[in-house]
Amino acid sequence: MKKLSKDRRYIKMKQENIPDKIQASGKKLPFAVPDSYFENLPGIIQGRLPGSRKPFFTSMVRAVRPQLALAAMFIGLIAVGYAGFRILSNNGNGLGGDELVEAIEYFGYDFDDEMLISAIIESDIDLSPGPFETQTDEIIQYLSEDEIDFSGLLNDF
Amino acid sequence: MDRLADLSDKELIRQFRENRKRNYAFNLIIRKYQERLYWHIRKIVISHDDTDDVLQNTFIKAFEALDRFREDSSLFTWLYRIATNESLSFLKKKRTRYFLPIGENLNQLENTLESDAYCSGDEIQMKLQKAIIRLPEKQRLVFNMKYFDALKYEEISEILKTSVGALKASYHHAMKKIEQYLTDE
Repeated sequence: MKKLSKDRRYIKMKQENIPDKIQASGKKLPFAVPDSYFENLPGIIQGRLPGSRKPFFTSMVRAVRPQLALAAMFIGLIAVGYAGFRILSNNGNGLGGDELVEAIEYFGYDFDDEMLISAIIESDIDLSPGPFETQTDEIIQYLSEDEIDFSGLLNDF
Repeated sequence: MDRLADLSDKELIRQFRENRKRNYAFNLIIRKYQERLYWHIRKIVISHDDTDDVLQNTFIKAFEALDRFREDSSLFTWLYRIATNESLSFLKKKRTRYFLPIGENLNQLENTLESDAYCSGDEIQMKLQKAIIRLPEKQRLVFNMKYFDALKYEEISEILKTSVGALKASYHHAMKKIEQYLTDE
């Protein structure tokens, strides 16, 4: 477009009945664009056009997306089925993995003396002194007597 | 650039319709019209980022529809019309997204004008833009196309599908309102 000189532009504006206030603002816009914007734009638009070549990986993923979804669903179903089977098969046959770990932690760290005593009291274990206590007294008494002849023992060794 | 000057719109369209040269011809069309369309859109949506989105969508729409273009009007007028429609529907969508009443677009555009990183100018230029933003949509379009883009009424008429008489009236009203705003401020 041919550029008009300042005077000619003024005359033209006058002819077009453009008020002085607007003429004073001129026709320059208070806008700017980033550097190289117009150089890069055609390439960006070309990349967005329908039918333009997409990167191989992206187009591959897009192509097999339904199959991937189906496979994921299948694997999910198998996992749920297997977990269900394990739960059912563990029913009445002892503890499952998690339960076992919980029990070990409980007995290993949380079981204190008071709990042991109360467990013994509640149980049917006979705590009355048995024959061992009598035997122990006899052995102590025997060993403390002076008449023991240790020479025979030493000779045996 | 020389190649662009050599090829007429007719020739570019002909090449576009040959499957083999489709992308090449369209690239030339983008290069030929991107700047003029950019500034047209920018005056409507104000922000650079929004203009970039609208301009890209304009060209994509043009690419999809160019086979159906009957060449009743010039390619430039046709592209201008797509850009205008895209800009207006962009503003409408933005307004709907933020649940804004019709007049509230004005505040949003004014804020953008003051805060956009790519908006800078002297006080008088900014004042003129603020005055234009306050105009009703149609008057704003007509004023921008006539005052800044120096389009003929006949061309604007083709773009906006409005009679020349109505456009002249719109331009006159716009001018008066802007003058009033600049005097009051």
